[in-house]
Amino acid sequence: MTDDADELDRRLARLFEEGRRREDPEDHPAPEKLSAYQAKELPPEEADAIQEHLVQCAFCTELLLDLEGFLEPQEEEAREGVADLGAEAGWRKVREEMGWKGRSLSSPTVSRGFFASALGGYSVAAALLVAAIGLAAWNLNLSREMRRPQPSPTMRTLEVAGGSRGIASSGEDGPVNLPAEITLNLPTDNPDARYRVDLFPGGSDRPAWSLDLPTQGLTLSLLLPEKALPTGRCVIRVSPLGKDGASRAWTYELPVGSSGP
Amino acid sequence: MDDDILKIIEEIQAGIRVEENSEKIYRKFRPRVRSFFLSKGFSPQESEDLTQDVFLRVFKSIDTFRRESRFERWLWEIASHIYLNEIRRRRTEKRDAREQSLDAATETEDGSTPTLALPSADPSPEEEVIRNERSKALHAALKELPDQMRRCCILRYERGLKYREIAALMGISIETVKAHLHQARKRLMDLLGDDPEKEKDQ
Repeated sequence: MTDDADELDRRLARLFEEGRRREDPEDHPAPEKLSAYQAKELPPEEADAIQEHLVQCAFCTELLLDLEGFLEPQEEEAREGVADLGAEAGWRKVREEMGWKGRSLSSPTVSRGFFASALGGYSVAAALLVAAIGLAAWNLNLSREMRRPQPSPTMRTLEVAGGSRGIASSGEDGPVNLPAEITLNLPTDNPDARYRVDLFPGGSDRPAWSLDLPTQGLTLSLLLPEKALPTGRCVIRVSPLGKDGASRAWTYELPVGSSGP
Repeated sequence: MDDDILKIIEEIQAGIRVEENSEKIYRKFRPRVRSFFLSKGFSPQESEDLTQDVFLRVFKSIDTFRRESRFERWLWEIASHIYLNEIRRRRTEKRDAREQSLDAATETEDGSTPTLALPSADPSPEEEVIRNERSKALHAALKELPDQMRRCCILRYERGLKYREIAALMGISIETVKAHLHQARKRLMDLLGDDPEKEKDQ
């Protein structure tokens, strides 16, 4: 019986395939209308018209199914206390655009010394140009990739070895592929509330990223998005805030593998 | 959780700790908005830029948010507007580019008319006639079905949606969707003959 029903389903699907509409309608209801339809707030005639539109319009169907997802609790939301470099850069731009000048108390702050320098600026412009050209060719595959579930970031905990100074090796587990969530174990029982964290890529003496991170118990956590750092050995320096902080710094080593899946 | 968000928004609207509270909202909802754009096929950087646009619009118009509705719903509405605008902008750019390339293609350097590639071969005229007839018969049969049953049928067979997706879109239960489809199958069989593809062989 079930086999018969399945076979019938397949035949119907084939028949519908032949008469399939090729394009969505040009006009779409405003998102507010779709939202009101989903919330059952529209009068019956309007709701009926929206329903009829949905039958013809894959674009609005997809959008409305997204709303269902938006209203459900999300698993992938940012973990409290974990600094996501992408989020930090985005927040900084939003803050600048809004004209908010004050420094955030509840979250890490980021500065990028390398990007601020003239040499860094030209390098970034050149890199962006190359990336833009590559991106155009890559766009189709990328679109497909992006529709797949995004990979969870790798988790890695780093320790300081050999006391409170000097470079420690963490290399037992091999290179870390980005995105990665990095936890830095602090070698102290009485940590400060916040620390400055500098990330130096591949032997550079200029930090690619500088963050002001809050302490989580005896650790600091940060999320490194794809391509946040180049492949190779990266040094992470953690120093107490204040004038003599640099002289009391701890250093961690992070071997960075490829970015992305 | 909802209450927490509404309290934060209430404070922002009252001008209390605006930046700090806005940051809490940004950090909580950024992954959701970014995922929305990623799922639409935008690159990570494009998704990041569009996400910033969404939050800028949120913070600039937060005074207009009515606290009796859910913030997530309002956020989705704003994200959808940004998405629609971006799609329109790209479509216009694409159309302009196509018009330009057509202009350029009207004449070659030596003044001759350029050769245009013909589209690949479609079904033969006979096949096309048969296909059209079957399609007409199917759509005539579909018109005989009650509206909701017809809609469920099209969403399932033409668009390939899952039962739960159809239920969400139609605002009905999954059981009702299944019942509609069961009934629709029986009626279509009666209207098109036992085998819905029967006419194909004729």
